[in-house]
Amino acid sequence: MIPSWLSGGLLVALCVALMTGCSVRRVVVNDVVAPSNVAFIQSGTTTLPQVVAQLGAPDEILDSEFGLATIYQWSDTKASGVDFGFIFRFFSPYSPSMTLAKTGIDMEQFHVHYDSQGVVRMFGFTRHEPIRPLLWFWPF
Amino acid sequence: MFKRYSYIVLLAMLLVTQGCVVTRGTLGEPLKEESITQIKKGVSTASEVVALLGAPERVVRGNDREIFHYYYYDGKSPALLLLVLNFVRMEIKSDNLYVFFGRNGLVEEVLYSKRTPNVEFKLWPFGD
Repeated sequence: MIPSWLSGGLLVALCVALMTGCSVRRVVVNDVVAPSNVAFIQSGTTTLPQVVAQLGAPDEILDSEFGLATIYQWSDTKASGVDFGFIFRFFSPYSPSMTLAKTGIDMEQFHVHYDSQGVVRMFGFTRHEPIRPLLWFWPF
Repeated sequence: MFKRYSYIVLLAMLLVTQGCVVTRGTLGEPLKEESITQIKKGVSTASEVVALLGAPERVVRGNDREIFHYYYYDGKSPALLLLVLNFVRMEIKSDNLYVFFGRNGLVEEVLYSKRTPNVEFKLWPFGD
């Protein structure tokens, strides 16, 4: 029969051992523009000020052959890694680095193109990456 | 007695905050709302806009108009670097101001949005 304080301690030690050398990093730039946020946009009807009133000012404005093009940008970059050499720190003066890490940079954009009168001509998202888990260190 | 408690409190604070990193980074100067409200459509000129806000970060030419682009970025990043586990999260948002000038040199349109007040120090990297 294991005393409860010992089983609790073992559980904590196991958790610590499992988490040893783990790092989780996340960088979020700007708010996500979801399809539901842009459902109000109608080609041939909606104007630039109406789009800005709903989505805010774009991150970039470009000139195109037919009129202006506005770009909204955002990203949610996730990175995690495990340093398996970290465990050596507990019993060795030297800990070799044995790290597996992976980073997924998702720079996404929403484009709105206008005609010369400032009315929406076309709009769309850049290729949308599948939602990745935050803990994904396996690089192979 | 008081000195002993001070040491204990200091030690406790060091223990609790060890491994904490708080970083903040900005790009550009914050856009002043009171200056932006002074820009009047059909009245203000480019030189008046420059006098209010300074030279723009970028000048874009589009749809036969000149567009001044002003921006400001604010980023906050707390981190917890413990002996066995590291959590790092960074939030970055931007303010953007576009001032459109017509062929007569007067302000035609002002587009502005401020997102930076919503930047928070969020440590937990999971979830939203």
